[in-house]
Amino acid sequence: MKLRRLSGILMAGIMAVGTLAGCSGAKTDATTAAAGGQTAAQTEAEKAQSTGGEKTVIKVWSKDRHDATYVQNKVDEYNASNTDNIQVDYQLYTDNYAQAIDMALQSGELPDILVQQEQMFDKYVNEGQWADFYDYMDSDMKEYFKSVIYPGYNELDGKLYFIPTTGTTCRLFYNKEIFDRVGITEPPKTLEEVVEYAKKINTELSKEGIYGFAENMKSASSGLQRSMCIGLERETGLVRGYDFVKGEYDFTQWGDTLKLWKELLSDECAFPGCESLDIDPLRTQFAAGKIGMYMSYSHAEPGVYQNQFPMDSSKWDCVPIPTVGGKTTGKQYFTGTGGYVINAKSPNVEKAFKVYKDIFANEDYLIGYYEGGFGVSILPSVIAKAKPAQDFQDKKWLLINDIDALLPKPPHTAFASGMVVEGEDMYKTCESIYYGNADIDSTLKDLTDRYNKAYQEAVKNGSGHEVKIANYDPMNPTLQ
Amino acid sequence: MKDWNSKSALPRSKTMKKNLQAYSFMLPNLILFTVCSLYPVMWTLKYVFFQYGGYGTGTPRFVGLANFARVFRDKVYWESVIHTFTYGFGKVIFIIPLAFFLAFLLNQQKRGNGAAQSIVFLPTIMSSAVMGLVFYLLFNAYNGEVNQYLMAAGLIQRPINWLGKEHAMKTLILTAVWGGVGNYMVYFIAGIQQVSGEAIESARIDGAGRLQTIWYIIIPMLGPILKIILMLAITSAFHDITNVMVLTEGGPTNATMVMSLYGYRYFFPISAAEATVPQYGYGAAVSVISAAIAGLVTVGYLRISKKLDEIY
Repeated sequence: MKLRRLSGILMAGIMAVGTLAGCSGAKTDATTAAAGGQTAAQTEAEKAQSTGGEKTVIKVWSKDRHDATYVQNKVDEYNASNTDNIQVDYQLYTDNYAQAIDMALQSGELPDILVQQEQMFDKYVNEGQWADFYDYMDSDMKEYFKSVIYPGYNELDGKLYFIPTTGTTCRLFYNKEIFDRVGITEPPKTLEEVVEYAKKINTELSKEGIYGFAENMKSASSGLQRSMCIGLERETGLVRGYDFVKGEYDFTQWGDTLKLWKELLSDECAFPGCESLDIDPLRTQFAAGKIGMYMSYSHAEPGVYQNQFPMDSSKWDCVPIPTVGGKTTGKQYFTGTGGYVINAKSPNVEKAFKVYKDIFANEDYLIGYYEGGFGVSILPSVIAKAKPAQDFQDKKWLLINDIDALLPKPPHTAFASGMVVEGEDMYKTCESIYYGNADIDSTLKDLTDRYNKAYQEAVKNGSGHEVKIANYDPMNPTLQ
Repeated sequence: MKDWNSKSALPRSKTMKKNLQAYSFMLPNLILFTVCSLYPVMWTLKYVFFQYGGYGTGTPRFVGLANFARVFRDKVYWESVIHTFTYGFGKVIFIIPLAFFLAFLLNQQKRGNGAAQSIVFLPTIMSSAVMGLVFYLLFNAYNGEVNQYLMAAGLIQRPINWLGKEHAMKTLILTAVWGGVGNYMVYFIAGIQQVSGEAIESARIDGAGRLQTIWYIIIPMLGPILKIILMLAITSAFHDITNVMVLTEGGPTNATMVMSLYGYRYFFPISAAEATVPQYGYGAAVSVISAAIAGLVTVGYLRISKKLDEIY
């Protein structure tokens, strides 16, 4: 009897421990997963440690799948050749990159080097999480990268946090073959022409399953941020509806564009099912010759049509995103890519910077990166020496051009979590216009009021600050 | 006569040991319940009074009842509540009769019925995300199989936008019915097998036809299990979000936005490109009100369903 009770208690104990072990196991797993598990680099380093080599493991996290093979090869080369007893452990987090960083920070598992991304950079820069590159850069390095140091962007309060080496912006991509078939001789220069051409293609070729225009509107923000919003920056000189001179939002200037977009996304012009279309299914259809025009990022599409969904390069090209009546009062945003931040709280900051400099800031790496079609270089020295993929040589609008510029951050991105806009954001509101029956003028007026109210509230309660740039010129934008 | 069940029947030390044993067995579940249910609920309840963007976004700011006031002003949220009821009603109205019909049909001792039961049950063990993806491939407007068959048969000229504003909710309901019918069928089979064969036999001797036997004997005798099946169908309809996320992300123009997904978006912006930044406080207020609505519906249903108990 006693034995049975004892065994009962023992069993319960085992179950409790099992449960707790399950919890801790999950944590271990999560941590291991967050760190990418036991990798070759870690095993190698542990082996080295056990043999007295004492290798330092420098962990690198990336969010980019498209260049992973190229980067991994460079990392492997470095691991095989470096004489500093450093082992680089390169890990890829394509989904939920920002959340993985949040979790790693909370559990003290943040890696030494991370691919820079706006959301994670902004979130932690004021907490001293990222190292100041100037503390480690020599004068040669400063000179080499001086053209890509932008005060207010990567240099804040005299500290340099990352160096963008490539850039991306948005363009209108079109199928030359479809244009030829319906007799369109020139790509569109105005938004009105985009509508006209899309209608023409739909009228003449929809029976064959070929349609004029498509956009990945499953997520309004994803679709509009690579298309309409970029055109609006050039057309209105406002950045996501924000006027840096007046220091207020004004979405009412979006009215004419939205009228045309409503037409563009109607059955008369659009590919069926744009409402539920993601970007990759859209690209497969474009590659299959079913879509006349769409808008997307300039850096990604050449690689996509070369490797992912093969398409003859001579069949497509790109041009700037057309605006209403071809009106241009400002520059459009380009995003600096290819940047890395260094964890300032890592015990190996110095070695991490050395790894960064030897691998990612190395000219051979940067030339290979551009030539491999993984990004469009913005470094004059690399552009001069590299022989990029044919697409980048033949299609001039794939490159960052004089219509593109770094633009300042409007309040809703400058202090995103501090500015709470009630109701739908600008993207979903636009969706209610082009896919719904919302009245354009009153809806845009309401959107303007809601954003301004949220901005003023944020300034008032201290969760934000006033954003205004004296003498701001949209054609020659400054960041601060 | 000695009452072995009364506490006084055992010495105090033995009672203690017995209790300790019982509590030890309960401990693992208690820990899981505390960590995985109680703590998140308390956490949520705390943040309903704050404006907070998550870790690394500064100190949460106390806003009192402002989050609740905002929920009541939020038109999109209340639309999502209506969509949730539409979805739930649409799902229940189709899934219950269909599951009963399949259970009745496949419960008979006929060759192949076992295999058929397995096939119908198969979607239940399939991941909702995979199921959503399969339905996306079937129903997407541009090269979905459904449109291709309809066009090949000459029934339509232009592809139907099954995931567009007009049809998206119907497609979601269809996915939910397909994914859940096997589960409810198994419950019904279990219920039907409990129905007394003698009662059915007596009804037949009394001259009842097949339909009369179903209507007057089997269905009333299924009362208790039908109550559970209906409750499961209703409550699950309130938190089905995977299908919606994969198929439509709540769109277009929020036409398929359900209240649980609406709250979820404020904690975890759906896609990398999602413009919404986390708003834990508002998300918590939305979740609390959604839970209250779901609770009210369940209580209401339980009251009505007492009638079902009384049938038999």
